[in-house]
Amino acid sequence: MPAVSEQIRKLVVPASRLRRVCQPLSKARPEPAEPFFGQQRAVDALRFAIEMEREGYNAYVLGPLGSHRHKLVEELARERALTKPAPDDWCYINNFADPERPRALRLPAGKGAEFRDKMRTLIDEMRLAIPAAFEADDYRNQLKALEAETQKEVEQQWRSLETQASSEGIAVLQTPTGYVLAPLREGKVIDDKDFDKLPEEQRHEIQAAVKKLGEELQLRIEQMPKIRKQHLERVRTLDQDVTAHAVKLLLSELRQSYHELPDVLEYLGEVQQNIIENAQEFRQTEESALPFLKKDTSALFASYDVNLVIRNEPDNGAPIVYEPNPSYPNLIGKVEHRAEMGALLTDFRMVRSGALLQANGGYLVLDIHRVLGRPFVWEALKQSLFTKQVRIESPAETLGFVSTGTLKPEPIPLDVKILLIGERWLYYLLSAYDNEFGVLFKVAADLDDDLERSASNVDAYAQLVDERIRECGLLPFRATAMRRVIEQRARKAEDSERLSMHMRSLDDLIMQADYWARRRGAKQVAVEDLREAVRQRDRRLDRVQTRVVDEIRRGTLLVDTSGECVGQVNGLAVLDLGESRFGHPVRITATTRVGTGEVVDIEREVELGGAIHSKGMMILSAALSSRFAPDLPLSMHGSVVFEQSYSGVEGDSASVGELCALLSSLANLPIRQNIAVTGSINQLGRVQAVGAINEKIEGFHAVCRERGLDGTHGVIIPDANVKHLMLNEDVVDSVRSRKFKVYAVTHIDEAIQILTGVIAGQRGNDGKFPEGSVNRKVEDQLIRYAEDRKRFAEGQDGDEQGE
Amino acid sequence: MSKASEKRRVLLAITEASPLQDLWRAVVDYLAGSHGELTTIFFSDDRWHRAASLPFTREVSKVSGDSEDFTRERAQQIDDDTVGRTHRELEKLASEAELSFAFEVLPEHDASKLKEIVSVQHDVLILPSFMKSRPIYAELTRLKGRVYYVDTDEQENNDTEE
Repeated sequence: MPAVSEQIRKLVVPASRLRRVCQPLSKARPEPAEPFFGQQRAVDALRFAIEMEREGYNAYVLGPLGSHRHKLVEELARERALTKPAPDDWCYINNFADPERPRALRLPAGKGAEFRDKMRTLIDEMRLAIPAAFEADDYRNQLKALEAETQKEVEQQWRSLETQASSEGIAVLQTPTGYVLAPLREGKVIDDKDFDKLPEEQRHEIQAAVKKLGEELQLRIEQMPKIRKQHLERVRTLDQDVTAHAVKLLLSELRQSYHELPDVLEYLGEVQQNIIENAQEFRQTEESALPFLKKDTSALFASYDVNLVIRNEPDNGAPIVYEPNPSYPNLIGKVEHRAEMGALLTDFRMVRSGALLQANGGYLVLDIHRVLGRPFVWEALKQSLFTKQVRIESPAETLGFVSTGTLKPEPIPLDVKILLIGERWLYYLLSAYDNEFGVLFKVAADLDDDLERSASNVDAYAQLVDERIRECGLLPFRATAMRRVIEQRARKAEDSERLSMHMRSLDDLIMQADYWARRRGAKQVAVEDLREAVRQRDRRLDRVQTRVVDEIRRGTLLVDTSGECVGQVNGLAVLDLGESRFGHPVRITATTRVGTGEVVDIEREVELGGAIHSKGMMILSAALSSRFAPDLPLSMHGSVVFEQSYSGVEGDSASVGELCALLSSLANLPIRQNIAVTGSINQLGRVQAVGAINEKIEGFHAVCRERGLDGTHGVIIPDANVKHLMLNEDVVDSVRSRKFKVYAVTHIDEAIQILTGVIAGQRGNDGKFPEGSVNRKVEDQLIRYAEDRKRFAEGQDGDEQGE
Repeated sequence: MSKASEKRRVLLAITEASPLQDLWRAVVDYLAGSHGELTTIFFSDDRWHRAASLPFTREVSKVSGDSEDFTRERAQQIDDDTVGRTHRELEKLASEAELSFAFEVLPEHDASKLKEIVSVQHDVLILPSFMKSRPIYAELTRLKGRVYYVDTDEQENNDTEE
C-alpha cells in the first residue's frame, strides 16, 4: 500500500484542469451563424407551433430572463407572418335598430380606413346636398302645392258649413277660442226677446238647426287635426322622396365601390334609410338666434361614423403584436366614456380594441408573469381562445358586478396564435394546476441554458459573439479576447465543458469590456478589458463578501486556516444575493458520545436546516452505521452543527465535511484546518458532485490569501466536479505556484485521509480495518460505545433485579 | 287737405273687424306731421250679447271641438278683450306717431251718444268702407266735414267722398 502522502498527492488536481482555457479559434468560422444557434430544440418546437394551424397549438417559451426569448419568438413569428396574408380590417358601426349593441363590420385589409374616410366625406356631402335639394324650386313648388291643397280642403270644410248655416238662417260667429252658432234675422243675430216672439214651431226649428249645425261644427273641428296630420304626412313623404333622391345619388358611388362586400352594402342600405328618416335634421343649416334651443345634430351625424378598431396594411403580412402591459383593457379592449353634464356617455365610436384583436390573424406575444399578475386577464385570455371570439366588455360586467346599462359590442371572431414567454417554474405550475392550460398551450419551446463546449460549437459560439458585437456596435475583439469570452461563458455555465446560452449576461460582458477598452483609448477589446470588466463587476457586488472575509480575518467569524482540531472541519457555504454569488468557509463541528445511534442535526432541530440538508444528514447517519461495526447496534450519539450560522442552511454539499467531523470525533484524530471540504455523500460513502464549486474554492482561497498562503492550504472537492472547474486566475496562479491545492475525491476515505493525514484503511480478510487507520479507530470507538451501552443496559437490568 | 299749421280734428270710426294699420296710416297721412286732435270711436258689436241671451247657444272649441254654454259673462269677456286689445294697439301706434287720442266705446245701436260726439266739429271722418252698410253709417255721415273711406277690400286706391 502506498504511503498516505503518495495517495494524497494523486488526488491533487493539476492547475491545467482548474480552468479549461479556450484553444485558438478556427479562422474559418461559419458565416453567418445559424439563427438561434444552440437552441435548435426550442426553435423547432416554436416553429412547429407557429406553423401548426390547428386549435390549441399555442406555445409557451420556457427560458430564463435574458435568454433572448423575445427575439427568438419575434424572428420566428415574423418569418411565418410574412408568408401569410394580411388579416381583415374590423370596424364598429352604429346599430340603428339597437344602438347599445354596436355591430362589427369586416373589410379586407387596408379597406377599413378608406371606408371610414368615405363615410365621413359622404356625411359631409349629405349635409350640403340635402339642404340644397330642399332649397330647389322643384321642392318649393311641390310644397306650395301641398299647402294650397290642404288650405283648400280646410276652407272647403268651413265654407260648406257656413253655406249650410246661412241657408238655415244661422250665423257662425268666431270667438277668440271657438265658434258660436246664433240665429239671424235680417242679417242680425236675434236676442232672447226677439226669439221669444217667434212662433213656437219656428223656435223649435231654429234650436234643432243650431243643434245640428253644432254637431256638424264639432265634427269638422275634429277633422282639422286629421287634415293637418295628413298634410304633415304628405310633406314628410315629399321630404323623404327628396332626401332619398339626394342620398341615393351620393350613395351610388359608394355602393359601387363595395359591391363585393354584402355586409357593407347592407350597412349602406341602413344608412340610407336612417338618413331619409332623419332628413329634417340634415336641413338645419342656419344658426339659431338662441343656440341652446337649436337641436343638437352632432350625435346624429356621428352615428354614421365608422370606428376603425383594427387596421392592417395589405402588404405587411400577418401582424405580430407584443403587449408589454397585458392588463384586461389592453388585452381584450374597452368601452370608453366621456363626461358630459355630469353623466358618463358612450357610443360605438368609443369602443377600443385590445391586443388580442390587433393580433387577430397573426401572433400575440405575452409575458406570462404579467398576464398572471393582472386581474382577470388569464381567465379572459383562455375564454377568448376557447370561444374563438373577442367580446369587449369590462371585467365588472363579465362578473356581473354592475347593472348599469352600457354597450355590448358584437363579438369579433378570433384567430390568433398566442406565444407566451415565461420562466420554467410558471410553466410547470400552470401544467400542474390549470387543466385548461394544456389544452390551449400544446407546445412548449424549452430554451437550453447552455450547450456543449465542442470545438465546432466554440467556433459557432464565437461567431454568435461576433454578431452580438456587431449588433451592439462594439469595438472589435482581439482573438485572445474572444477566447476569454468563451472561457467566461463556460464559467457562467458553471461547467468547463459547456457554454452558457444566457444572452443578456453575454451582452453585459462584451459591452462592459467594450467600455473599459474605450476608456483606455483602445481600438480593439483585449483580454485585459474582459478581465477588468469581470473584476469591476465583482467589485461592484462584493460588499457582503468583503465583510465576511474581513470578519473571518478579524476573528469574529471563527474559521481556522492553520493547525488541527478534533471534530472540527472547514465546510464551504455559498451566499446567493441575486446577481452576486460567493463562497466562504464555515466551521462545522461534531461531538460524539455513547448513545442510541442517532446523529442530531442541530440546524434541523432549530428549524434552520432545509429538507435537502436534513436528507444529507440522514444519509450521513446511514453511511456511518452501515460502514462500521455492522454486527453491533450503532450506540453513539452525535451532534453536528454549522457554527455561527444564524440563517437557514440548505443543500447536502456539506455532508462530506460533516461526516469527516464525526469520524474525527469518533477516532479522536485532529483535522487539518488549512483544508476546506465540500461534497455530498451517499450511503456507501461515495462523494457526489455539488453546485457552485468555483465560488466555494475561490471563497476559501480568498480567506487563506488574506492570512497568507503557505502551500498547505487547499480544498477537497468531489471528483465529479472537476469538469465544472473554471476557477479565476488568482486561484489557478496560486495552484501553479504551489501555494494552494485542489483535491478531487471520490470516496469519504480519500477525504478523511487528506484531512487527518492518516490512512483511512480498508477492511482486511479478517474483516477488520488496519491497525492505526482512521476507520479502525472509528470502529473501535463505536464498538466501545456499544459495549458501554450494553453494560449500561445490563447494569440497569441488574439494578432493577436487585431491587 | 288743410294747411300744416292748422290744428286738425279727426274722427276715426272702427269696429273689431277694422284694418287698424290701414286706418291709422290714413290718419297719419291726413295729419302729415301737423298738430291734430284724434277721437276714435270703437263701435262694439252687440251680437255676442244677443247670442248669449239665447238659452241654447253654445261655444264650440276650435281646438278640441268640445262645446259649452255661451253665457253673458263669456260675451262680456270677449267684448272686453276685443276693446282692450284694440285700445292697446292704438296706444302703440299713437306712441310711435307721437299723437294723443281720445278713445270712446259705443254700442252700434246707441245713436244718442253718437249724436253728441258727432255734433262737435271735425275736419274729417275716417272709417272703413264696409261701414257703409251699417245702420250707424247714417248717423256718422251727419258730420260736417269730409269723410275718408279706407277700402277694406284690398283695393289700392282709397276713395273719398265730400
